[in-house]
Amino acid sequence: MNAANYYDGYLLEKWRKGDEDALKSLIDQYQQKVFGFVFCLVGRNYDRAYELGVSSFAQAFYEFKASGEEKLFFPRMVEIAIELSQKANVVFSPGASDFSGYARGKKRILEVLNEALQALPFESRVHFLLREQLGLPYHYISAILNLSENEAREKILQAKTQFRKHLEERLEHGV
Amino acid sequence: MASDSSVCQKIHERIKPFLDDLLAEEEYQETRTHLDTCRSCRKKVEAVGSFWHHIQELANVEVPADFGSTVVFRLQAAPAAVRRTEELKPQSTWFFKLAVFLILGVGGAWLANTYFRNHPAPIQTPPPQMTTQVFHEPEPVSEEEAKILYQELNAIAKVLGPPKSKSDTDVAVNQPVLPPERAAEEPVPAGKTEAAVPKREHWHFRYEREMTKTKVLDTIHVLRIRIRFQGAAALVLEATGEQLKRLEEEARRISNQASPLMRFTIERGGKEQKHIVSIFFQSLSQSRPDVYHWHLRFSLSNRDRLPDLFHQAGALLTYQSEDIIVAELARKKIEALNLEMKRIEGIFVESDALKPLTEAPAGEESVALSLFIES
Repeated sequence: MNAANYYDGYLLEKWRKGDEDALKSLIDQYQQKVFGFVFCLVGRNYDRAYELGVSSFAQAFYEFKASGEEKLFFPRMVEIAIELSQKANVVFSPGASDFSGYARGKKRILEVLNEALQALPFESRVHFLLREQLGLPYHYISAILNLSENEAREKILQAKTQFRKHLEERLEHGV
Repeated sequence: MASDSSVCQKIHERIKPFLDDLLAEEEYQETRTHLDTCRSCRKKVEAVGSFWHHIQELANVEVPADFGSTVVFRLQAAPAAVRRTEELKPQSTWFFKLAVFLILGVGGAWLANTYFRNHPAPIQTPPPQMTTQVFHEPEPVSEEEAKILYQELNAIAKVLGPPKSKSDTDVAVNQPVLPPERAAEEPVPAGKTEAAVPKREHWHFRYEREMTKTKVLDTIHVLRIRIRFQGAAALVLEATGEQLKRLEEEARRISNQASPLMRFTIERGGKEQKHIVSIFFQSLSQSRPDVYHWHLRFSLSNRDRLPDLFHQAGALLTYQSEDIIVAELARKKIEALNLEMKRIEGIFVESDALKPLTEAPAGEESVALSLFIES
């Protein structure tokens, strides 16, 4: 258990004993990561990411409060976020993602990358984002996915390869 | 040295920690020195940096200001709403209670879908606050810009490792969330009428809804429905003494919860073995005078297709944050019901059976449907 996990456990324990500030600290610590992850996972659909993100936090906190389990908090929350996002089955709408505010060239790059990302099957998108967007180490990812570390590596490699293929196919038709 | 492949390989492995400034000082200086002299590694670092930068940008979104407070609110106001699905499923009496939620969810989506298909011009205009996705064409770029963008994206693609053949990469890893459409396998028996159904159960509830239809492709429309329940759902059912006892226990348990948003009551019906189970919802939002009500009764016979409808409704329903408690309760119950569906046999939703049964109350748009459940 590293320092961050130890600190999570400490905050959770404080929250179990009634310290609401500890709860808020945990939310503040992870909301950007979880919201950003779910946001990408569901095709940059802001409303759904909001609902799914809140549900992930709430369910993770509930589990920890109810069971007192000593699982690592953040990986478990990401696992819940994945489960809920898959059930939500959000339909990706090409062109609906809002990249306004970016310069035109960058906007186009982000649009193309987003399309390639959303073209991935859901699980591949999860594998890709866990590694490339959240930047999680393989042992974390393997714990989240319930896979061996080697299997996790293989899945991520496969996802990246699929991503490249989609990207290249997209580029064949011009930018 | 600059072109030494083993050194380059070592540098490639260090690119991410280098970009994140996580290398030890000695490794950092070694990498910098190598990059000063090796053009191909420098290009690789630039491409990897560009790739990661853009992937991070995709997730770069401002977290809603009320995100944290909504999590806290949900935990405080409705602990049951965040209970895990598995904890909701086991007891047989759950069916009755869960079925209410199923009907609320499925019926809402189904009714709205059917109604709008048959009534393209609704009586009242949907409220202006609803979300409608805006589709836009990409802004045109010049040939020169396109060339630069192509090069940048191509460099990003190359960061992701060697391409594979289509057969290698076309592996569909995930399972579809929606079950395969079973309608084709199990067509609706033609000519099935109310008279053929031996037993009926009627459900009544009112809700507010907003709906948007979005055209994705010529053949695909996404239907999004926002529902706010405000009335009561009543299920007339037959219950044995033991079932009734458990229902009453559940009613007490739910009614004792802190949330004021839902009340669960059981009243004796006209006949000795029939009881009315009512669930009352109260919306968190009281300020939507422009939203109108529907008064519904559903018709259902043959249970086989209920899981499909559940999935479709679950995929279609979206909720406003202000309705989060009610929505979460409904969603959880619906999910739980889905897990229970293997234990329910012989239900079939017969869309042909949908038909108006009652007149609209004064000042309200009303559509009434009838629900039949075959025993």
